[in-house]
Amino acid sequence: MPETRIPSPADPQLELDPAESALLDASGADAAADADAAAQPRKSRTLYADAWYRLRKNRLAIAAIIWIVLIVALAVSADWWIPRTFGDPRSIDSTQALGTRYLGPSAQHWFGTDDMGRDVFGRVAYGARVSLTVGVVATVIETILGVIIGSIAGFFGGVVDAVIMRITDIFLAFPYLLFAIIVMAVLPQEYRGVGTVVAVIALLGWASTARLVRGSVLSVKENDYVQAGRALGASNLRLMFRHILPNAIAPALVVATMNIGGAILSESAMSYLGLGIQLPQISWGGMIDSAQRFMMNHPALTIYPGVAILLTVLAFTLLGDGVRDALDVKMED
Amino acid sequence: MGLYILKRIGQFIPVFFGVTLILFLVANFLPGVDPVQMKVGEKAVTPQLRAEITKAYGLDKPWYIQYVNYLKNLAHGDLGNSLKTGRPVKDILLEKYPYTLKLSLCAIAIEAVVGIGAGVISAVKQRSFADIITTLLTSISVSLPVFWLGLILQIVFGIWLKNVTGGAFYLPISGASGPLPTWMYYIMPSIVLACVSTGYTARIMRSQLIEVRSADYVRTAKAKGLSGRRVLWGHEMKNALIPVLTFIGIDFGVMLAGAILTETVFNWPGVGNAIATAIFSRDFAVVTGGTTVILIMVMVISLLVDIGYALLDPRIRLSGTGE
Repeated sequence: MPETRIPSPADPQLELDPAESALLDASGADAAADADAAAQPRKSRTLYADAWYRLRKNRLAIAAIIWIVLIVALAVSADWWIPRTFGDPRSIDSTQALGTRYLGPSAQHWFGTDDMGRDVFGRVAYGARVSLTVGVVATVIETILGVIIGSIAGFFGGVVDAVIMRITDIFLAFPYLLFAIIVMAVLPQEYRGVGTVVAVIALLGWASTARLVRGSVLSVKENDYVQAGRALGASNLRLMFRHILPNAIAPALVVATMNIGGAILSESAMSYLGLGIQLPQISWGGMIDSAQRFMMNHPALTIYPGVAILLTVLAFTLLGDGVRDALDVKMED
Repeated sequence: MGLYILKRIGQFIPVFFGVTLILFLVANFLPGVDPVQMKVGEKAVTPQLRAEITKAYGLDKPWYIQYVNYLKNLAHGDLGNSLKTGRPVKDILLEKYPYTLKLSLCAIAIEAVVGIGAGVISAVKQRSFADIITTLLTSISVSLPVFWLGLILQIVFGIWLKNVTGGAFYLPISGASGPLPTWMYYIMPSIVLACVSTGYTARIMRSQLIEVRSADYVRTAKAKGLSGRRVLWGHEMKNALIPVLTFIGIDFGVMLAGAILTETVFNWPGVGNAIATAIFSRDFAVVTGGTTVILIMVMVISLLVDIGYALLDPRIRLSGTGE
């Protein structure tokens, strides 16, 4: 079980854990931040303002944020300029297709064209839409489910806790991808698509978040201020939302950030196997699947969508690491 | 310790029934799934055929009776017959499993050596250049789509470096034939299969070792005048390794399951590839049978690993419960 240490507002000054911030330190930011803090009396900052302050000092995390912003901007803006600039990457222009197949990179087609004469950069942009949608929506759903279920288990304890934890054990016993694959495999083809991919990922992903949140709720609920709230007659709901969750949620945020990347990886694997996003909808995994048939002569077609997956997932991994250090959450990988 | 093991087995039982129940429900009762169609594959189902199959497989019985029947068949090792070849699924899996097992063993060896090595280096030389590079590399390795890594290796070694490698590296192994000695065909698939787990192993090793290094008994050992090397191997690693070995053990089970992508990319003749092929040919008996066996293996392996953990960790070995 991941061991968590929860930063609480009671800590007057959150110290960076040296073990967790090697990268941060490498940029010299740690020392600068400390000197900064020592030199001037600090305005009292909230936990999250403090975390944001530290996140900004982490160069890798900033690079990750920049990449995420770029790829989101590309995905959102695709309709406005991609079809006009490069030709519509979603459809095949039959009068042109033969002449424009397998073109190399040029000003006209930044990443060249594919086997149907479609612009590869445009296809990567439209693929980003699917991947980001799946990653974010699935993660939001699984995090909400996990937080609710985990906090119920941690807060009420006893039989409720025992039953919920046995159920999470069952879900944690499934190798994630394998189960996703079998669900998608038994579903008839017309049922496969963004909706089912999101549902499958979310349905399998909530358990680890629930377990994590349960652990931190368990430790937070012993704090004096929670007992004080209870003594003053606060309702369970109020205790939960005012006192416990705000202090127990940090590990879930860290894991959620990394889970976006994980969901994108799962989606690409499913689409690569032909079980996820179905043609003609564009997905990065699907692009790799079609490109591998021409791998011998046109390896570049395989490389672009893969690099897009790698960089995007890496960005969420690094951002997750950064958020973990910034919020000073200790957890085992 | 006996108590701990009993408790752990007690935990295993509901998980076993839960997992098999979910698998059974998914394969038979998921919206849009027609269990009769799944028994015949792509063949058209006439009303008469439907009635026959429903009767033959007891599909008109309530779900819990069907589940009990499914468990009974499972206990007898009866996983049904392949819809394509008519061979028992059990035989197909028995034939394929050695390949998956061998590949997983190679990958586990890579994971253990490289992962632990990288983790130790970056923990001992914390904040050094080597640490930063290792941390970045492990972040990349856990973010890689494995199937894509497999394709890239094939492009690099099979196509771009064809003059050096003879272009044979991306070929599937095909028994004894092939231009290279058999073991060479294991290199790329096992690297690909090991890649993600190696990153995780290194990350866990690093954080464990760093945590242990600030413990009191380590300071005592140093104060006694032991050399850095003896402190590291005699005292620190002894404790830091336990969680890492647990992870690697559980990962072995997951690898047997996760090899589906690696095996597909390299056309490896293992269970994962058999399942992937069966998905495309809609041979559901192989898909569900193969998945069931893999899931049970994963659960059993993680049970064994936990028991091994109890043997390794003196806190559990001596106290009895571990809590």
